Amino acid sequence: MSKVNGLRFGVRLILLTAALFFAIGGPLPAWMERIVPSLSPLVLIAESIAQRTWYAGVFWALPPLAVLLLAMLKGRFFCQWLCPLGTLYALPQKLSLKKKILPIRLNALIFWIIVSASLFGLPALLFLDPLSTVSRAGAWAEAAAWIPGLLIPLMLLLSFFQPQVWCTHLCPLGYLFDLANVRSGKRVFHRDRRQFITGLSIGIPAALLFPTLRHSSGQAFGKKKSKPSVLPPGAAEKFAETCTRCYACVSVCPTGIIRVKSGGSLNELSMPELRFDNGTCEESCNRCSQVCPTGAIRRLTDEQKHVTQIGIATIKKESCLAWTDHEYCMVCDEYCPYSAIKLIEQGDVACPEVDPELCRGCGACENACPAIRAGKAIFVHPLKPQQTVKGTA
Amino acid sequence: MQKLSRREFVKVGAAGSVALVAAPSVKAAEKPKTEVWVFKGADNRALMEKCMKTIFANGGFGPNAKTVALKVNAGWERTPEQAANTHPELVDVFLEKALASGVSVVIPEHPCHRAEKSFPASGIQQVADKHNVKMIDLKTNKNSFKEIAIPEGKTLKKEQVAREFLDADAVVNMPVAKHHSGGKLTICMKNWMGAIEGRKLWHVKGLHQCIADFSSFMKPTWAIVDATRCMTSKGPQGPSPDMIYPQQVILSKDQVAADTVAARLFHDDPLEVVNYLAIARDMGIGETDVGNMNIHNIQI
Repeated sequence: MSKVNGLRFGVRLILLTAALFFAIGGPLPAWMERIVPSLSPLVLIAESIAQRTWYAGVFWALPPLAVLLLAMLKGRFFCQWLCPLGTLYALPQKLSLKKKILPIRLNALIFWIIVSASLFGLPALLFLDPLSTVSRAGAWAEAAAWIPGLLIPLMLLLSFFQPQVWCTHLCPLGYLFDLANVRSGKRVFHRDRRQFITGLSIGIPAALLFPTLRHSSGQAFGKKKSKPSVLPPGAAEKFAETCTRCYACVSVCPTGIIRVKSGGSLNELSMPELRFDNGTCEESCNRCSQVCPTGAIRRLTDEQKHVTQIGIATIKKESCLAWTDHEYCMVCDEYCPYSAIKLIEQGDVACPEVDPELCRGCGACENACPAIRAGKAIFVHPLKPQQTVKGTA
Repeated sequence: MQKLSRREFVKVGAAGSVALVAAPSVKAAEKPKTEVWVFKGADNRALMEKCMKTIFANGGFGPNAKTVALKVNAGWERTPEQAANTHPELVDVFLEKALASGVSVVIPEHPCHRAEKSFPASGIQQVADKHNVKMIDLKTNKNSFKEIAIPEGKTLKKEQVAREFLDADAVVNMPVAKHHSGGKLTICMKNWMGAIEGRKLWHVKGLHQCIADFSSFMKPTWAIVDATRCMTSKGPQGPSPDMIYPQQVILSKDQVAADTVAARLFHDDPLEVVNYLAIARDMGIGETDVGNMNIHNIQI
């Protein structure tokens, strides 16, 4: 190993380790969770085009733009020195059989599908972005995360046959770097003009047809209609479509209620959703809205988060300890941080009713409800789109 | 004790029987009244300092007590002003004086919100840290719980209790008094729901009976009620628009008596409103009749 190669190997290994630490998050500050997935200029550009908004602001746009600038000057420097996924796929290089199992490069095709579909409002295939893929590893404990998460072991396995097949033949971000390189960009574009045309002819119809298809696709999977998902506070209207499944929000949630959805229609496949069996969306917490690299969750101020209504709780009276069993309960009211449970006196027993003007859908009631005879008696139903509460307590 | 001769025994016994029959009030008079101290004043620290003096003037934490388990309320991510948790100034003085007396103190608490949020928000984490006292988060330390039997319990026959309370030489119950939608009021007796594991089930089994049942088992060495500021609606979490400021600390060895006296800040006849107090009276767990209490009103 030459001196430069040795240095490079060391740097890459350190960056890979750091990236995995950031992805897993845990007690680290929330913004660290955002570093890796937000470094991708492909995500920044495609999402901004698709959503017609510069969601990232100035601060979080600078690093990916710096990466893009680096590519303009130095081509694939990022891939060779910095990319954690590239490092991972480079590890089996020495053991690789060096066989060509994927003879043609598809990276240009994937790239142009993403770009053209984004122009028409749908950042299709953007979950293939390598930095979102790395970040996804932070949600390894979620079973449904392995549907998009399988990409990593699969590509690692392929690397044993064809060295770094992902990086050279498939990665859309790598292709963006090739195109951006001032020295070789033109030539690369010219070389791949057929894939450009094919990408456009797949991406544009896909973006136009997908929204009409997606309603029937749930049935196409042969499942009954899945429960509508409660989404993290700040979720954009097209949350399911704009999310790249990087799971930064899943890893950063301190109460562990942002989970990976299993089932549902194709557009909602493995998307993050809120489930309240293990915790609640805490009144003072605003972490998930700070980490999303795609704008699928809009950044909220703490004040905005506090008045954001992500859903409304409804009571199943026949399961309720107070309404049906005439027990002194009111645990829903006890745990509601927003005083959104009204007390209705039935004789001496207080019974709960939800005030829809105050309820945020935080799930404190659903989480705490002690009813067991017929299951829980209070559930949060999502609001789509999310709103700002009308009432003040 | 001097031995009585048979003759003397008969004499005394006969005289006693006559007295008992003749004057039924004698029996009540023989039973000592329950001591309750009510400290009133604007300065929280001064209130608590007087309260601690009273504790040490009345036996402290018991002879040879080395360890004290303190049950505060630090369950909600709410500020001290919002009155959902025990006031940290009171806890601060308690720890200062208790530690100075030579005992060690732990503060186990099963919070409603995550401890990472509720302990610091309550301000109690900070005073505990200041005195090097450990707060134990019973939400995450599940193996703290140990099953105990409740022999006098009507509905609640057994419960999982944090072993810190079982192992300590003395237990002090130090809640804030506040409104509660299910329990009507939560003061000392209901505060034990933060010392056990299975509180969710209490609502299913019958909340008020379970509260009374558990209090028949768990009797503190001292009950100290924070009634410096109280929510009279939207409890136990608040924030409440209906605050009262009695500026009181209520102290007793009998948590039922302390609850009764504190409850009178909220209701003229608390036993009519707060079912678990009436149940406690019927089960004879503690004193609910203020006529049988020696209430020392101490202005500070």
